Amino acid sequence: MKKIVAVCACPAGIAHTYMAAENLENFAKRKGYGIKVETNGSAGVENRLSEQNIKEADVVIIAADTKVEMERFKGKKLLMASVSDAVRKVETIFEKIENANIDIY
Amino acid sequence: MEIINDTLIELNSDLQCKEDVINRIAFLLAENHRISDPIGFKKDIYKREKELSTSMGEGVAIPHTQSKFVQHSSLVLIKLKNKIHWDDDKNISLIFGIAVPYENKDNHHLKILSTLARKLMNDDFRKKLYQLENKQDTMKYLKFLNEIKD
Repeated sequence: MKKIVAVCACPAGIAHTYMAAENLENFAKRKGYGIKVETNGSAGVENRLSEQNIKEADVVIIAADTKVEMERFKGKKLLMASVSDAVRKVETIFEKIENANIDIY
Repeated sequence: MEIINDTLIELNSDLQCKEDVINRIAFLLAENHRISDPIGFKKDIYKREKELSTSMGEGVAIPHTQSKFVQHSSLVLIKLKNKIHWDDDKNISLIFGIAVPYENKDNHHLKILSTLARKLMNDDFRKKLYQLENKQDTMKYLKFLNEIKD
């Protein structure tokens, strides 16, 4: 099973971050992927990705419109998207994961 | 103070555009003594809209702000009779206005709002909200938001 880790963040951190997280989680589960999503909202960081989570992940998805702590993903296959992509067009994110070669960060 | 009550719910609303909806949200919040200054509040709502439109597809928009003009975390639900434009979206009829105080030390309200945000991605939840026709049933359906524990 492919394992995904993701980080969601948006400017206000009140709503879109969590919508994006929910959508990524639901879609990944439907597709049969393992997924863990960290949310960087105004309530702070929740469901923080551990070193182990990142190490084990096949792909990293960043769905954010604000700065995210990126150093920790060095050397991983990483897909950058906007938070609204994850809310509105989550299937295109997964199409990219399935079809395209994803660059290494 | 509860985050939503039946005076913050408006169903069958005949508002015609985004601007009217935001005016109405500010009016309802001011009437309920939940914001100190409707004009300042609206400015902050539009500032957020400018960064990224808050229409989320599926007929739903969630204008929101964390603003110094907000005194009590609040939710306003407006359900429109007719679909309206919300920036690029043409079919918005369900609007949740979200107001959070700027000096928000209370993560509890943010937790409620993140729960709502996640729920809104759920097809059945939206469908049910569209179907509910009176305030009482709508409030009953949304009551869980007032009851979320840390």
